[in-house]
Amino acid sequence: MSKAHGQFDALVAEHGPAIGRVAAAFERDTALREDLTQDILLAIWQALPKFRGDAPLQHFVLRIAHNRAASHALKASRAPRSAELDDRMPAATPNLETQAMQSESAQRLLAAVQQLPVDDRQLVTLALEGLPYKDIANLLDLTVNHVGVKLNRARKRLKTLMEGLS
Amino acid sequence: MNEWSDFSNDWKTMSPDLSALAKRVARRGRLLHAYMVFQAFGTICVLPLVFVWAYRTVPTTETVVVLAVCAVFIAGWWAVAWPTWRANRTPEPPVNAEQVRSNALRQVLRLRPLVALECFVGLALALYVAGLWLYHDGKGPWFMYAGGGGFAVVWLLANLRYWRRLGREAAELMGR
Repeated sequence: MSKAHGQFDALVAEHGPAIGRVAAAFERDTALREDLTQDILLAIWQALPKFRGDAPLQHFVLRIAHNRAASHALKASRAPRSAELDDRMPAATPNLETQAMQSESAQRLLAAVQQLPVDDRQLVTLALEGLPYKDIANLLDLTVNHVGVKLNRARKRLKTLMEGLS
Repeated sequence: MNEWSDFSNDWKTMSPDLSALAKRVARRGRLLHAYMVFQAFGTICVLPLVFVWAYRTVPTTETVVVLAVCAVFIAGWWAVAWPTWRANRTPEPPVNAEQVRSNALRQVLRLRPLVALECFVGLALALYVAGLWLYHDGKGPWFMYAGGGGFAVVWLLANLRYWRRLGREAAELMGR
C-alpha cells in the first residue's frame, strides 16, 4: 500500500463520519447522497497531496466537504427533482437515517437541518461539529461577528423547525 | 446552550462507515489521474504527429478543415477539463454559499463565449459540407456528405442546447 493511500485511509477513518454528516445535511435522497459523499471523497483524494499542514486536517476536510456540498445544493436547487421517494431505497453505504433511528431526537435534528437555507446549514453543521466561531469564520471566509449574528438566527430557526417536527 | 450541546451530541451519534466507499474512490481517483495523463500525452505528443502525417499524406484544403475542426474540438475539451482538474487539486476554493454562487456564475460566464465559438464552428462546418455538395453537384462518396453534415448538425445542436442551458443557469445564479 502506498504512503498516499495509507494517508487517505487514515483520513477517512478519522473524518469519514463528519463527511457523512455534511453529505446528509445537504442531500436527503439516499442515492444522491452517496454520489455527493463520493464526490467529496474524490476531491479530498485529489487535493490531499497539496495539503501543506498549515491548518488542522479537520479544517481541510470540512472546507472541501462544504465547498462540494454547497455547490451540490445550488445545482440541486436549479434542477427539477423527479422524485422525493428515494429515501426508502437501499443504499450501498450505511444510511444515516437508519443510524439516527437509534435516537429520535437525532432523526428530528437531521430533518430540521436539511430544511435550513444553504448558508445557515453551513454554519449550523460546522457549529454542531464543535468548531469555535473563529474557526467557522476562517473556514467560511466570514468575520467572527458575522458568524455570531448569523449563527444565533440560524439556531432560532433550527429550534422552530425542531418544534414543528415534534 | 445546554440544549445546543445536546444537539451536538445527537449530531455526532450519526457516524457512517465510509471505508468501503473510500476504497472505491481511491481506485476511481487513480484511474482519473491516469486518464488525464494519457489525454495530455496524446494531445501534446501524438496528435501533432498525426496531424502532420495526415496533411503530408493528403495535402488538400479538406484535410486542413477537418484537422482544424478536430483541433477546435480538442481545445474545447481541454478548456473545460483543465480548469476542473486544477480546481479539484486545489483545496483553497471559496466555501461560503455566496462565494460558491459567484464562483459558479463566473465559470458559467467564462464558458459561454467558448460554447458560442463551438456553435459557430458547427455552423461553419455544416455550411462547408453543404457548399461542397453543391459545388460537386451531389457527386462523390455519399457517406462523406452524410457523415460530415450529420456530425456538424449534431455538434451545432448539442452546443446550442448547452449554450441555452448556460444562459438559464447564469440568469438563475444572478437571481433573475
